[in-house]
Amino acid sequence: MSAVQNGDRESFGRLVARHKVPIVNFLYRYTLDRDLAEDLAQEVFLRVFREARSFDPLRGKATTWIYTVARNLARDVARRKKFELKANSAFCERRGRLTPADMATSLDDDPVSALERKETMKAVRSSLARLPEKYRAVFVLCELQELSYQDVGAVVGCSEKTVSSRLSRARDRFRREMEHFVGTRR
Amino acid sequence: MKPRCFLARRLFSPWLDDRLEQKERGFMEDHLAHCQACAERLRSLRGALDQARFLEVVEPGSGFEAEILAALPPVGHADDPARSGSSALAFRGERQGVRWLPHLGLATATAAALLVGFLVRDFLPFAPGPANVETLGTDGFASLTPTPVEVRGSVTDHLNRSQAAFLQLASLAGQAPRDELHIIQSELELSGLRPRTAALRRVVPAVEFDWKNDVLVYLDATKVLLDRVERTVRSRPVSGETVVLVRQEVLGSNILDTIDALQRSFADGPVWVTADGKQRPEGRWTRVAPDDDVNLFLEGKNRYYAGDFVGAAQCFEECNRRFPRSWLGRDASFWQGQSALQCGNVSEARGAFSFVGKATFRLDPLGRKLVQRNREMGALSFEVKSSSSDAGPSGCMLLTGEADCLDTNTFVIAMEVESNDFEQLVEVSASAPAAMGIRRMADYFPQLVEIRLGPDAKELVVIRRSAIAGKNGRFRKVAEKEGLDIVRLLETLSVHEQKDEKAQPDAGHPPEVNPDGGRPDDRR
Repeated sequence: MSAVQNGDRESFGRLVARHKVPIVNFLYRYTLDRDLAEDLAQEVFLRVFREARSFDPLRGKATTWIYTVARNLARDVARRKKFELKANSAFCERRGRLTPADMATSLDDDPVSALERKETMKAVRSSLARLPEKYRAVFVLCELQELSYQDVGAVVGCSEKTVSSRLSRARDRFRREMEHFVGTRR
Repeated sequence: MKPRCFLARRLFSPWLDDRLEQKERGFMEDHLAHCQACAERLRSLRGALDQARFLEVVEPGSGFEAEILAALPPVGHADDPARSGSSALAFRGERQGVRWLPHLGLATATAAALLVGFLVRDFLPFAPGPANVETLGTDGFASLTPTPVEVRGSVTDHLNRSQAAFLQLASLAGQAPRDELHIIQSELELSGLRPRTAALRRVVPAVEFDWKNDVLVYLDATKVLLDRVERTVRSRPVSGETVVLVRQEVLGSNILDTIDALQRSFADGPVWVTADGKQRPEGRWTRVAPDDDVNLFLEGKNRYYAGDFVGAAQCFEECNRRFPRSWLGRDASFWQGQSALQCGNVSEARGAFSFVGKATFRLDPLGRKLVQRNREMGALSFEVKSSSSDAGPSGCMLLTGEADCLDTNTFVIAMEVESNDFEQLVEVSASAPAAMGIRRMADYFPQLVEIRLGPDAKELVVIRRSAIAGKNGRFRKVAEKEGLDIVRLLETLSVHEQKDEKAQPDAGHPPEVNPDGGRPDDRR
């Protein structure tokens, strides 16, 4: 990162190569839009390059800092697209359509597994979409990206205790949404 | 739900992450061994989390890195870190920097000059003004250079074509709450300003007014506001964004007089005045198509906070009448009730609040709030459930009314709640301090430490901190005397409450409010 701070583009290329998959996946899980996630990830890395000098290694890890940039950007976009996100997920629910992501992942499976997988992914996406932003961020970072509480706290700007509390609520909400989706509500 | 179950479920998450302390782990193991419901719930949670990992892993496209590298600024460019010394991105979840913030000041000055010019009705030749935010450099404040703006014609030539627009700007400058961008945005739309933006653009050619991309017009320029504006504007693509800041002080110390004068001079546009500067409820209002339920609802809320309670009640009533199946139905009813109360129309308020089922109300001693008198409020829990925790759940506002009639040590919010709803309430209270109801509750009772389910699973019991943690807190004493840990302490609490209830058969109901407005008897 220090090399990037000095404008070393080769180092920046390595940094992108190293972090692109987790960042793109974080953004995908956060926005639930694959194309948008890639676009945002590119913007994230461009910002990282532009603002590299503002990174202070004494205040945290580079990974966490990049996640912070990504989360802020994704949150801003999510705010704009909040209703679209909901509408899209509702639309998918109503029509039971396969999204491109479903299709991509179902190609290798047998039809029954593919259908099950499709349904599960649809439920997961739908449940994620229904989580409030601050819960979704913590849920995705902790549960899916498997960051530590400390790192997540640095990304979202709160204490570990708050992360723990939000994660607990996020998980419970997620569970309820999943139950609701599969029709096994208590 | 039993208190032990409630505690156990709060520990599910750290249990899964193996972050429990020895004592808590022992409690969980013991509880899960004996409680089928909690064990089942934990299994359900585990299953859901396992399923979450079904979400596919996305691989970036093949050209991903190449596109990024191609988009890097050229060597030596202002954005090149090798050259730049700016510090624009913050850590720990803070928002990005303020690279164009100084230009807000320029925009402020320009807009203020416009308004001043308007007020004195003078023909001001326009001075160098703000640069479009799109054109700003990124290499720190020092390198920013204002872009001269050429203005053709006189200001008032243009102003005459957009009087209502400036009237609206001026009114907002004086009256707008300082942190409610979205509300102002909605107001501008509702006020019909949009068609006049072309005229505004002619007046301030350096500023882009583009309603297609969520134009943001914002006024006043306090530090808090600047931060907020900066965050909000930066949260969107810069292109097409506009921030117009008008320093209130430029308009004179008595902005209300200014507004009055403006209103008298140009009475062709609406001026909504927030008479008491009341904090508006938080909301995420977005632009909506005209003449639909959302629009009516927003207009109702605008009118409410402008002090036009009659108009507000009409809007909410119309919203429900014309769109009976709207998702805003409950909220509209609630606000209709609030508006009617503000008008002193209790009967209409009762009707509007009828959605809470069998609850009956009476006015509190001040005559401004409904005090809920009946514990059967099943619908209310649904209301809370359906509200966004960030938007100020209306259910909690009703709780505020209840809080007035509670005694000073322990009060019982008497309403039917399901366990889920209760958790939602706790969640709201803990995670959304900005939510109006909870905030008001906190104002009333800053000592509140806990809201939890009562022993009969049909009450929310709120216990003051001093009752537990204070030096002389009665439950603290009990705990010390009996050597109880917190789990046991809570159990003890419930035992005490049960004893209290036995002592007072009607303890589950809120204490009566004395007709003369005095505080109820302290049951403790």
